[in-house]
Amino acid sequence: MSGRVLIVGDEPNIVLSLEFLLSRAGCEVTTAADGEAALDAIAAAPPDVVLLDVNMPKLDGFQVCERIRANPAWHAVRILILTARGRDIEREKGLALGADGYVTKPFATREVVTKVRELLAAGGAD
Amino acid sequence: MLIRARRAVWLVFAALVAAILGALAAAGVWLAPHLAAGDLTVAVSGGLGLLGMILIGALALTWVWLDRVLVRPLAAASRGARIIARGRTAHRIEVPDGHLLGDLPDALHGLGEVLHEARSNVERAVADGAARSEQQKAQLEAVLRELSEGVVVCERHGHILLYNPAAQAILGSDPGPGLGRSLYALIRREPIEHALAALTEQQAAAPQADAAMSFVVPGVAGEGLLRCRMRVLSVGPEGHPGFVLALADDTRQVRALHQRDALLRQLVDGLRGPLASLRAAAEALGECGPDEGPQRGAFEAVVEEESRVLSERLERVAQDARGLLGGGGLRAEVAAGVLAAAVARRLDARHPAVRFGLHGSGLWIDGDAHGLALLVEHLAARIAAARGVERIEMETLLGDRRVYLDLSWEGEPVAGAQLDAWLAEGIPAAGPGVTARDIIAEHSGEAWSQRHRHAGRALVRIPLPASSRQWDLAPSAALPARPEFYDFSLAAQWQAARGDSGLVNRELRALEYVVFDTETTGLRPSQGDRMISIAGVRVVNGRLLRGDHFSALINPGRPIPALSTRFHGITDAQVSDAPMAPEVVARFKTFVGEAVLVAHNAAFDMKFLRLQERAAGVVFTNPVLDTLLLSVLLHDHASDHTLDGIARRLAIEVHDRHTALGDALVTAAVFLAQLPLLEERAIANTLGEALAASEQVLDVRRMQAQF
Repeated sequence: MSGRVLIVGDEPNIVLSLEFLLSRAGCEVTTAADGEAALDAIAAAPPDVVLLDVNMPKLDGFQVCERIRANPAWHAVRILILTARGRDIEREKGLALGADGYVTKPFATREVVTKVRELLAAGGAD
Repeated sequence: MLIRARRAVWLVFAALVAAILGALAAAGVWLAPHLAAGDLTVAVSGGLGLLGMILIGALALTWVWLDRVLVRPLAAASRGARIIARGRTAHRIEVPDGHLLGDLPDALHGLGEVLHEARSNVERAVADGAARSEQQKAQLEAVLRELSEGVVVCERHGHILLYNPAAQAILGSDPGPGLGRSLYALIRREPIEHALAALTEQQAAAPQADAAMSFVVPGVAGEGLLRCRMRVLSVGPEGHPGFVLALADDTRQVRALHQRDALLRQLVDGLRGPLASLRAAAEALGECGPDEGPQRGAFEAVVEEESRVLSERLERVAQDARGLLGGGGLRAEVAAGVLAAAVARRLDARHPAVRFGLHGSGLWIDGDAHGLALLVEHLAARIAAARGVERIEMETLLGDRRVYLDLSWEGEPVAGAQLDAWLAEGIPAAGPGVTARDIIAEHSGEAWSQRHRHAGRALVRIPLPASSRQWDLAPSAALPARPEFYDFSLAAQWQAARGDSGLVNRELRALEYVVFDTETTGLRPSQGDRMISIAGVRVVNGRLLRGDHFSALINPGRPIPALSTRFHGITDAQVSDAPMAPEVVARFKTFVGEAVLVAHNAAFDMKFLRLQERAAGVVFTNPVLDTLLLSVLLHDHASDHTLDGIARRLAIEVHDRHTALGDALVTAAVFLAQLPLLEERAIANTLGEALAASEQVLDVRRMQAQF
């Protein structure tokens, strides 16, 4: 599979591992450490999938999601949110704000890779 | 006026004397020539005769006159006074003209009016007092009814005199509390009697001190825990010893605490193992040299496996914890409608430009009513200001174990950043340092803004825990009208019953009755007809207890003839999953206890019951009264002693005939109407008398039947 994936998160360990695994799977991976950097990166070069950690300081994942969806130019960007708290309402909130999928931490990386693959496929069909 | 009367009487007697003297003179005049002629005998007899006649005539006239002017008016006045005293205060005393009573009649009339007024005043005062007392009673009843704490009042030996709906919810409804029933049938005797004894002693030692005692008893059927608080008091008009118990069901809280403890333990202990392995393997990995391939591989495998185990354990604990998080003491059932009304009121006061209302019917939320009201008010005000709208609608939608509280308006959604900013604001009315987000967190909730399903509208959605009250089944569709839940005069009865020589000497109106009726497959018990339905209602102290009834279908073990179904409407399908007769009869006996049984044509129903005694393992030793026999006793002249006929005669409204419960109710109404008549006509005051009188009727009928 190929596609551009942006990983946004403030826990370097997770970001590192995910970057490694997704690159191995054939994606072109970029990372951002917080919400603002993420929006800048998207503005510069919109990715196909954004992996968005919810818990970030300043601009949290939900707000980034909201802003991506607010921009019609980024309509094709698929958003996968990573929730730290497995509460169903966080999932719902994300979906209500326009996310395309979610993963709960701790997750099996294979799961993430599979979901990214699905989103890329769906994006292509658009 | 008396002077006038006396003068009249004096005048009359003076006239009488004058008449007698005149008569004497006339006699003398008449006699003189005869005396001179020596005709003594004739003279004397003639004179005496004349004198006598005149005297008798005068006396007779006098008597007639006195009778007319004095004796008869006096009698009339006295009769009239009695009539007035008995209540006909407008009665006018009839006296002939020329009476000598003076103004005695008028004085009596005046007394009558004064009496009438005085009586009216007393009646009015009594009615006012009664109305006020009735109103206070209604208010107290309302308070008792709404208490979330259960309250039970018993006389000293544990018989229930009062219980409120909360107590019924705690103590269950099968059998549940009931007037006159024993509390110890529901909860353990020992702790209560122990507390009662201790409190009584305390009170004897220090009568002025306010003594109460708290303790814990196992719940109904041994399940759960009830927290009780007991106080001693006197009950009933004569002040019999008793006690009041406040009940609270602590089971849920205790259970929740235990669950939390268990989870914490799981978390702490359950994670140590995998973490230790993980850490050890990670450190070992660090120690491995570049050429120790297989060892590296082994440790990497350990790292992967233990991480997976840790994840699973965490997931499991998170699942279990989901139900428990945030179950604080502040949370209770909140009706969305009530919440919306509270918010509307607050907004009216502080932000009158904003109109707020509930859309649709509200659901039940499990939460802190006050906190939620403040939160919603805060958000509504902010949204209205930011979006420039005047109207905000609240709607509740049911989700998975959650209720979504949506605040919607016409316009665009609110940006997440903006919403977060509003939520970070403090809400002073909720407490120092409490923010809107804190209130949401307390409910394990969240908040976000999105488009509404209707175009052009947007909303802020706040998922909140749903209250299980949504799904509570409606209370059993029992009889309407408020259930009687107290009767303090029962205390006196229990007192009387204890020192009693027997049920037969108890007064009819003080006894406990169960009025019942059965529906059967046919009229011949000896030829295989069986009961298919039985219902009973309880009468205590002359009152039909609306909340305390028994009603059950019975599987007769044979098909129901179509003719019979046409009569009572019960089909084979309806009884196919009903229990068999022995089980129902046993439960019915428990319901009846030692009450007197009453039925219409009781012999018929009792025959069916007795046929099941052996199988059910119970015996009906209760005395039985028959409303049909009582009707014959009371209305011998009538020929229609069917239930409908008697009801008509006694002017009782009949609904719903030909179901066991409907018939039991009509029979009870008839019985309650017959009781006072039995007393009034002195046919029977006590149970013994009623039974004896009924026996007599039976004998007569048996004899009649032989002809």
